[in-house]
Formats: sequence, structure tokens, C-alpha cells
Amino acid sequence: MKEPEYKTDAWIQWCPGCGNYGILKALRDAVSELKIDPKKLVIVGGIGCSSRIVYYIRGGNVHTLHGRAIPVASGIKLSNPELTVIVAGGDGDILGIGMGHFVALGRRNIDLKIFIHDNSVYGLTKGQAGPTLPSGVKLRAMNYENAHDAVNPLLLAFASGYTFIARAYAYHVKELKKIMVEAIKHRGSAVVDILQPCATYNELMTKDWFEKRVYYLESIPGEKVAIQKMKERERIPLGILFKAEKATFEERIERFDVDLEKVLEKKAVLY
Amino acid sequence: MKVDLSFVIGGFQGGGVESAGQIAVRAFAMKGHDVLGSREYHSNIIGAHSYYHIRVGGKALQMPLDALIALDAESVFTHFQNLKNNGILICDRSSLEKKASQIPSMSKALKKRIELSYGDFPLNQILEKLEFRLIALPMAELLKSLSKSVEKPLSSVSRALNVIGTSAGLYLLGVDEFTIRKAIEKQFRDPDVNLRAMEIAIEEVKGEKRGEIPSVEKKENLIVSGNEAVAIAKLRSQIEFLSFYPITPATDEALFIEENRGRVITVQAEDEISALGMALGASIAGLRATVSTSGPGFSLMNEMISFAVQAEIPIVITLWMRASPSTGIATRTGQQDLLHAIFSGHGDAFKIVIASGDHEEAIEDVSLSFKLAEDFQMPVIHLLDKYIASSLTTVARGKFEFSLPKREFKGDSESYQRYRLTEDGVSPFLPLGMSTMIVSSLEHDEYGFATEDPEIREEMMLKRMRKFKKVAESVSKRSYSIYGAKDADVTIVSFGSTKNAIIEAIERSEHAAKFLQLRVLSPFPDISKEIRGKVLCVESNAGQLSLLLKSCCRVDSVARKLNARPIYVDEVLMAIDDAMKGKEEVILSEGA
Repeated sequence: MKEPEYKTDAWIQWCPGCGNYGILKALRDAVSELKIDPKKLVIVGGIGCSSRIVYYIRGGNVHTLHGRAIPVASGIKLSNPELTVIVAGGDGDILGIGMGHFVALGRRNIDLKIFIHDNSVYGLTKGQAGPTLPSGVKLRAMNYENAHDAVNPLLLAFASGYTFIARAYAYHVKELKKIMVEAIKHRGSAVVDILQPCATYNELMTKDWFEKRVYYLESIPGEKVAIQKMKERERIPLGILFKAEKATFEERIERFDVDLEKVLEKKAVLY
Repeated sequence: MKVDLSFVIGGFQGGGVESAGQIAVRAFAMKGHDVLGSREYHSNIIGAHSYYHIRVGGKALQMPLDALIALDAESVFTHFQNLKNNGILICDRSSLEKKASQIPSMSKALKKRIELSYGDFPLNQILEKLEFRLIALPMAELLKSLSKSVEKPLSSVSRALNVIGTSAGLYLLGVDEFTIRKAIEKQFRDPDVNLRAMEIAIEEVKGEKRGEIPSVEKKENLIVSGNEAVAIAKLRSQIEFLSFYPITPATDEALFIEENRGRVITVQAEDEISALGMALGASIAGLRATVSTSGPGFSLMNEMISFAVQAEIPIVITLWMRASPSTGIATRTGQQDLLHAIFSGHGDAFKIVIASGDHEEAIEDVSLSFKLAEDFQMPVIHLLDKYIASSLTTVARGKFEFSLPKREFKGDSESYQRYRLTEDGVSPFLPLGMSTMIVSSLEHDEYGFATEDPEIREEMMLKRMRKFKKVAESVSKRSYSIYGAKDADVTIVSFGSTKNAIIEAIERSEHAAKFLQLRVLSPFPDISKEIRGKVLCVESNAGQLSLLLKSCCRVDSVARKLNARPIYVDEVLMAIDDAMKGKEEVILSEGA
């Protein structure tokens, strides 16, 4: 069988130096390694630079609304479990406007893969503070120092009930691909927080900044250590931090046969 | 003999009013009569006043009342002013000693109104001046003898107060004991105490003058609420996916489907945005999907409606309107989301809006909604309201004897174009999994790729507009119904649950009146050629339909109901008279 073609002919409109290029390469490699039929691959995007990825990989892809990829993806996966359904969105998309859905998905453990393109800025609207930007930081397009504290995506995922939690770095394409493959193979809700530089609007968290700080976990730590690792700030641990087996939502909903005639009988006047 | 009755059974929430109303509706249905039982209740779990307004011999509500069955003093205070002269008032003897000011659950406003008209006196002093047939049941004694007779403590049988009041009332209205017994047996899993309560009640009122309820030919054989009618119709339409977020008065529909779901996937979402988002996902994946909600939830769904229009996703949204704006009055009715439904979603968000006038129409409109949504790949909003949602009525079982075939997909899966340009604007639909494709909320080319090209943008706008034009052609024959006189002096235009009140009113009016019931509100039909005489618009909002009507005809008079209660037949009669007198604005204010 011929290797499926995952590239599309769309012009890729990310800025030079954007972390999304690494993520795109890693994702193409991951689905190729897993030999996922493009017809059975569904990438669901929110809105933002990251979500444009739906146009750059062949699949049955859906470009939804800002923050709303998770609900749409949930409906797709529950309706057709054969499909591999991946959600792509930025930190603003998934942890800002869409955070309620992110938490709800963890509670459900639907077999979806959430890949957060985490660059701490709203790039497409030109540089506002994203939910993962530390407080006190002022990036070039911001009027003032960030008055919000950063959300911790990993701890939030853990508290919400995600059964696969990992962190990766966009420019370590091989390692990122490996984590993506593991996430896709995992049965249940998986989240990969993918750190990425925004070459245009985030002059603090640059390639250099990240590469000085990141290091890899040797193995999946126990729960206690995992939580400590998730909290680490000075240095940034990468890899799979948490993995658990739990029934998926699909397995939790009971399906049975129902006789509608009997249902109607209950409503009969009975003369 | 034509039976025509209008009566209320009232009590406190949690005090068995629900069962009492169901027993009464069933009893009259068993006798073969048209019956409607409209449930009014507070946004409260226990303690506040609630009631059933029951109409027999018609399917619209009518004032004044022939009888009032008051299970507590508050019910007497709330409804006695609606009782006819010589109407029957059945209550607990101990209620008669109560003053309005002694009832903590009663609203201050109602207490004040009663005090202004009658003074703050015990009920017996107020009622003395009025001409009612007062049947004051010695409830405490009756419950004591029930307790003794069934050998159970008083505390465990006192719940049967509702059955005592209702049985006495039904018996006096003329329902025979056998029928009341059957209705009670059907109501309770273990009916023994309640059957004994019924016997005690009938014994107590035996010898009083009674009405007469003959049996007539029985044609309709199910009793359903509007929520249930729609739920069953959706199951018959072979829905495959339902997502919802709890909201009054839509939840009962979703819960009925959930209970009887079989293989339907049902999900309680985290909010209404997600509910519609999930359903749209299911629809893209090829399932027949639906959501149900009310005004506040529908507000949240707006961005998803616009998405469904742009991405061309079939979906049926059942919108149970309630009194608004904002949280408004969650448990009361209204038609205030008409314009919101039609203009929901940002942009040129073309969609279909259908409104049903009663339970039977709602059933038909469910399958029609799915058909239109799938034929034209766009949202269909099925507009209903709380009045229909929670009223019980009889429906012929045959109304549910239909089935909608499952969605089917054929087509070329190689180089598939989700948004292929076609003559009628409708592109072939393939679900996810059958082909690669892009479904997009961004403006897109035929494949779904995002584009900002001016020519493609224009082509895609025109494609969606062609599709909507095609919808208008497809529904033109059913977009309104006509009732009444051909050469009328007045044409009433209305939509939704006002239907049966208006039909009855034009039959009874001394003026030659005609009624145009709008059933498809988007695309909005041109009714100018149907107009005869004065144009009277009747609606339960500030005048939304009249605004739309002015796009195709003149409007001489607008009758508005603003108090969050249903429209009554007698109010429509009054509105017709006022319109004929040249009055431009009428406010309809009946209801408790």
C-alpha cells in the first residue's frame, strides 16, 4: 500500500520561526507512523494561528469557533468511535475562552487528544497576554505588565481528571512526535501542553529561553512526584507526567433497545 | 350534549397538584371529551402556589371559571375572583378562617390587591358577599376517617388531601365514580389509600346538585404534555444524538428522551454552547442530531448557530420560549424569542424558523424540521413555549405513527468538495470518515479551504442565499394556515400557542373574522394577498410579530399579552371587538 499523503497544497501562513512548524511536522510524522487513514483522521481546530493546522494536514478536518473545538470534537468522537480525533488550539483558545470545556472533557475522559499550542500570547490579534503568560511580564505589544497570574495547564488537567498528561517542546520534533504517538494510542482524554515560541510577539519566551530551561523526565513519575514536576518553574520538565487507566465516557453510557410502542402505552388514556 | 367547562385545581407545590391535575385530565379524556390541562407553577421546589387550569370541550383556556378546587387557602385567594357567579368553590373548611395576611407564601402584591378590594378579612367574610356555590369540606375529619379506615397513621394519609378535593370536584362536575376510580388507579402505583380517599370524598358530597358529563365517541387515545409530544416525535424521527443543558421548560423533553433513549447518544453538556457544539459535531459525523433549550440557553447558542449556517451543518434546535428578557420568569410562558430566533447568530445567518400551534402540530413539525435541516444543511429552530411544554392534552396515537428514514450518504469520496457550488446552492453531504474534507467556519472555497478572495466570497454568499430561496419555495405551501370567514371584516395574524384560543374566538365572535396562523417564520411569508378588513396581530410579547408583518402589510391593531400567562379565548374575543372599534393597542391581562 502506498504511504498516504498527509500534506495539502495550502500555503502555510505562519510567521518565519513560528513554533507551529515544529508541531505540524511532528503531527504529520505521528499520524504517518501510526498509519492513520486520512479519511479516519479528524483534526478539530478552534481559532487562532495554531488552529490553521486543519488546512495543512490531510484529514476530515473541522475548523470551529474560538474555544469551541472540544465540544465539537466530543460530538464527533462519540458519534463515530472509529475516527482518531485530535483537537488543536492555542493556550488562549483552550485555557482562556474554552477553559470550561477543557475541564468538562477531563471529567468525561472521552477518547480525544488535546494538543495545546502554548505560546502565552494571542498572536493573530497581535500580541495580547495569553493565559499561560506569567504575571508582571510586559511583552512588546502589551500596554502594561500582565496583571493576571498564569494558569498551570498540567495541574488544571490533573484536577479535571485527564488520564494522560504530557508536556513537550515544539522544536524537539522527534521527542514531540513520540509523545503525540503515545497520546494518540492512549485510551481516554489526553492533553499535551506543547511549549512554543511566538517569534513575533513573545520576545521573552524565545527559542533560547526555552532551550536553557527544558529537560526530559526519564520515566513517568509517580503521582506525588508528578505534581511537584508540574509545579516546577525555573526549569521545565518535558515528557509524560501522568498516565492512568479509567473508563471512557463512551464506555460509561449504557445503550440498550427500547420499544417505543411500550413507551406510548404508558401514555394511553385507557378507556 | 356539548360539555364546556373551565376549572382550576390549586394547591402548594409538592402538595399533589400535579397528580390531581393529571387525574382530572384523564377522567375527562376517558369520557371522550376534548381536554387541555395547563400547568402553572413557580420557580420553586416546594411550598409556592401552583395550579392546573383545565378546559373541557375545547383545547384553549377560557375565563371565567366554572369551578375552583382549592386544596389550600392561598388557592382560594388566588383564583376566587376568576370564578363565575354560581360557580362551584370546593375548599377545606379550615381555609375559610384564614386571612390573606396570614399566608406567608402568598405574594405581597396579591395580598395588597385583595386588601384593597375586600379588606384583610377571613375568607368566609369575603365570600359571604359573593354568589358562589361553596362546598367546604371538613378536610381534617375526612383525613381522620381515612386514616382509621385504611389503618395507617394520619401523617401518612394526609397527602391524599389532593385526591379528596379532586374527587369531590370531579364528582360535582358530573364525572361518574367509575371513571374517577379508573383515573386514580392509573395515576398511582399503589392506589388503595387514594381510592378509599375518593370514596370518602364522594360520600361527603353525595346529595349535592351535580352536573352531567356524558360519554362521547372516543377518538384520541394518548395523554401527553408538549414536552413529551416533541420527545416522542424525535424518537420516532430516529434521532441519534441529543445534547442538552438543564433549563426550564426544556429539560423535561430532554429527560424523556434520555430515559427512553435506547441507542440514541444523550449527553448532558457543561453549558448550552457545548450542547450545540456537540450536536453539530455529531451531525458532521453523519448522525441525526438535536438540542433543546429555552431563551437564556438559546442566547448562549448564538455563535454556534452562526457556525452551523456558515459550515452548512444540519441541526434541529427546539426552543421552548419562556417569559424573558434575561432570567425573566423561568416557569411562565411567553413568545418573546421570535425575533431572537429569526435573527440569531451574527452575520447573514440564514436559518429556518418553524412555530407550532399545539401538541399535534408540534409532532408534525418535528419530523418536518429534521427533513428541512438535512435537505438544506442549515439550522432549523422549532419554536414552542412553556404553555405547550407543560400542558397535557389528548392526542390521537396515529399522530405518532410515522418514521423518518435514517440519514443516507452517497457520493464520490475522492476529491470531495464539501461546499461544491450547485444550481440550488445545496452541496452533496458526506459525513466525516467517508472522505477527507474540510468543514469550516471561515469563509472557504468549494473544498473548505479558508479564503479571503473577493470572487469566491461573493460566490459563497450567493450560494447560501440561493439555498435559502430554495427553502422558501419548498415551504411556501405550508408557511401559514387559514381559518374562518373568507370575506372577513377582521384578519387576525398570530403564531404559536395562541392558535386554539384564536380559532375558538373567531367561531364565537359576532364579527366575521379570519385567522392567519403563521407556521414558518423564517423565511418570512408574504401574506398581503390574504388580508381582509382590519389587521389584528395577537401575540405574547411587546409586538415582535407586528414589526415583521409591517414588511408585507398594514397592522391596524396589536393585542399584546405581557403578564407571562397564556392567552384565553375570551381575551381574543375582546381584542376582536376592540380592533373593530378602531383601538390600536390592547393589553390582555387575564390569568393568575
